[in-house]
Amino acid sequence: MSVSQEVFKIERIVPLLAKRAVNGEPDATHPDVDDRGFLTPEFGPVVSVTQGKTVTVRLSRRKLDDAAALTAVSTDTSVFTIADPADGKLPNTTDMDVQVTGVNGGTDSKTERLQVKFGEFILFELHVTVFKELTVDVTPHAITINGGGANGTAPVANIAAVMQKVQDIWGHYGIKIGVKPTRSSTVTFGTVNSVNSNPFNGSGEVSQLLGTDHVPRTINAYFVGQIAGAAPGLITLGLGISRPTATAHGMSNPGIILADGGPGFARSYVMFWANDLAHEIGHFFTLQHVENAQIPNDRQDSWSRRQLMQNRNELAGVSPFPANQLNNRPRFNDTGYGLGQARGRRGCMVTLKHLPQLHFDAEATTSRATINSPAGPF
Amino acid sequence: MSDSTSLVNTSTAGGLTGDHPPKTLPPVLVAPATADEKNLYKDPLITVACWRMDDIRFEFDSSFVGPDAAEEFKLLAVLRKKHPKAPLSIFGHADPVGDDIYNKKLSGRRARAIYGLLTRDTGMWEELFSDSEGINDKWGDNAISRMRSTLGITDTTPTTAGTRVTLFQQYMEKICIDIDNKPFQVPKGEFLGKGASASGIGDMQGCSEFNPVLMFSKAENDKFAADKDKTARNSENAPNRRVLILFFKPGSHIDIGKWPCPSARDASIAKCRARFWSDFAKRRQFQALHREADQTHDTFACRFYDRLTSGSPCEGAKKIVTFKVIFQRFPGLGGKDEERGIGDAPYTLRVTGLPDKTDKTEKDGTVKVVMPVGSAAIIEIFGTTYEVSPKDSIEALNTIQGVQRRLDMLGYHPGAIDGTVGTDTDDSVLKLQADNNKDTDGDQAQAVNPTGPYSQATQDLLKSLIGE
Repeated sequence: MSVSQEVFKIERIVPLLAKRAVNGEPDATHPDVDDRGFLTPEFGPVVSVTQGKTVTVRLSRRKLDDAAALTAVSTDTSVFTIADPADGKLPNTTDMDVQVTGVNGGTDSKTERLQVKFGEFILFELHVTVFKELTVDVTPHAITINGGGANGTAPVANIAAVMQKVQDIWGHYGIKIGVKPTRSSTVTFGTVNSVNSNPFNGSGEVSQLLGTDHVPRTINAYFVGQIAGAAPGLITLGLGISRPTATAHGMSNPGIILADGGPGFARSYVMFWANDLAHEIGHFFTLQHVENAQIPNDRQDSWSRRQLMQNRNELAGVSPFPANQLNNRPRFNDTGYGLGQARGRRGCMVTLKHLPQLHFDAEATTSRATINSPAGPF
Repeated sequence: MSDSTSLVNTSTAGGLTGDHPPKTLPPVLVAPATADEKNLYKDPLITVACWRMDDIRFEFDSSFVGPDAAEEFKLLAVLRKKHPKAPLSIFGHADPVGDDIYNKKLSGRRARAIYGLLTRDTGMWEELFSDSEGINDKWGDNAISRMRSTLGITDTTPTTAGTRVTLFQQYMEKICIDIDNKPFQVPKGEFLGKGASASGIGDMQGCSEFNPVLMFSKAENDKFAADKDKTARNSENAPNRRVLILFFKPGSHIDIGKWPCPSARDASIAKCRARFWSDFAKRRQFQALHREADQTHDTFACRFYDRLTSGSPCEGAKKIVTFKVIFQRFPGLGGKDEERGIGDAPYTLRVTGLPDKTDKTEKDGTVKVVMPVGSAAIIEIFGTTYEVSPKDSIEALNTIQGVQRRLDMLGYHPGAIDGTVGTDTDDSVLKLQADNNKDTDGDQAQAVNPTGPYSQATQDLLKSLIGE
């Protein structure tokens, strides 16, 4: 197969690219590829793997013959190795899946390159960051909220399944979510099955909830029916309150609250809860929303949409997304997680690169720094 | 235009040859003299064929002839065989950039380099080597290195005038060859001036920038003048930088004392100006319209040269197209050449009607393609056949296709250039913004109006990177 190319004066040809190997829900073996631009120091795209784990990434021939003999090599096999194909010889297909195994992340992380070669010539480089594994424990709480003279009901979330997905998301960044046994509690607030986020201070229901059966040195995640108090037209489905945030608002403890749904709305997909919980854990690790943009002035580009720390967890509408619906973008579901969820939910990427024009980026580094800090994240 | 093209006998990547259209002289009527008088009839000079070597065969801004010129000398040998008794004269040309005197020197030096090569006059090359005559044309170590490399000489010791004689001679024998790869040369006596003048009057001359084959429009010239990077201007001007050899009708004879052109070594342009058309000033201006010699017939300032080359197939501006294909590891212009480019990689360039060329990519991954207009070209590299087809123009920047085209030119993967924004185009715009320290909003203006153009900011960014 030949490559046809029109040329006007100067044409730059980049034969290959890298991308996530599957287009479905997050799992433990198919990480996102951070390919946001090609600036120093990485130039190429970046993917991460935890020391001792093996993940699959996809290389794709965009302007290169499928028959061209390519070989994948690691620039330092003491940092990562290519598990498959073991001899490095890539298949003669447009898309080529490669498994890499993290060998040694050093004291925190090490980065080397996966080079795709034709003969001796390097056609493409994928940067592979190997993270030393850090463990962060999470204690799930199933909270029944009585109120208004009525007895509440326990949340419906499949907590075990949700926690597994959360592990899948954060595991790619060397952060192991240690899931503690689920604890059940009943509280009484103003409205049955609902915790009100107003007032958001030490005397409010949120603070009371975060003080319920608190387990030290873990992230306490409280599963509830609903979270009231959102701005008109919006539904709050999760709150992630880091130690600094809790202190700033006079609350008893940091923690996470995750709702089954809102007025007239109930979740049904495990991934929907998991995405929100993973997002709130990001806040617990002091991550901010993408470029700290808040509704309604949120970022509306496709890249922000791919990120776990995008502030909106879903867009209304179905694929193809209508442009500018509710003044929301993107027009494309480019999250890498398929259309199975139908409603254009945000992606799960935690950024590895740091684009210089962004104030908040390199989220994996920030998260790990918080965990590694003397005070820890709790 | 088409009649000219049809006369081209053979072309190469760096030049062409052609027969001139036959010229029929009007009948001469002789009246009897009434006294001790005589009638004098003098045949006009008639050219019968031409050979052209393009700028690409010279080092940039230099008169040093590169080894690839062997292809053009093979053509010259063929043409010489066809016209064995036609006296020759060499005309060097520069582009209309810089001043007349500088360009007179450079064009004259290029003519002398060719003359020295054909006649094996190593002394003439030594003059060119050792005296740059106040312009940038310094042969220096680069020329020595190129010659040694071509000859397979690994010696790197500095040369002397004595050792250069041998080096020049060997190099001339190596590149000035016929189609059987045997050395080819032309004795000085076979030139129009028969080598009678030490300065080569009638044998070779530099025409400065007086006879360009293309003149930019004023708008084009203004645009190039505004660009800090002159690469595009120089590329567009390449057809003007050339050396022609005109073959004159056998038996042609000149009186070198009356030859209108100054010698190739003479930096004076007064004699040239004496032969200018009366409207030379207008001809040399950048006018409202882009002009080309074989179409508008009004780009040559010198009427003597204009007449000699009337109908010449060698004096067209668009016989050759030049473009670059750059192989990179990642898109855009970030990083150093060697970080971004896939350099030193072997490739084969196949162009219809030309010998295959095997070479290596430049440090930044560049494959430079020079080919006759209308030819097909393929580049075989990395186990892949790239069928490359040059475009004369690209879509306007204020169209979605225009943005997609430019993203593709920069190495991003925007998908089909079809005017429809999909995930690939959207992602490419974001990468473009990221690579250029812009807010990565994916161009919100276009997104909220998907059928409309990209924002002026995106258009300006692409224009700054591509120049179009």
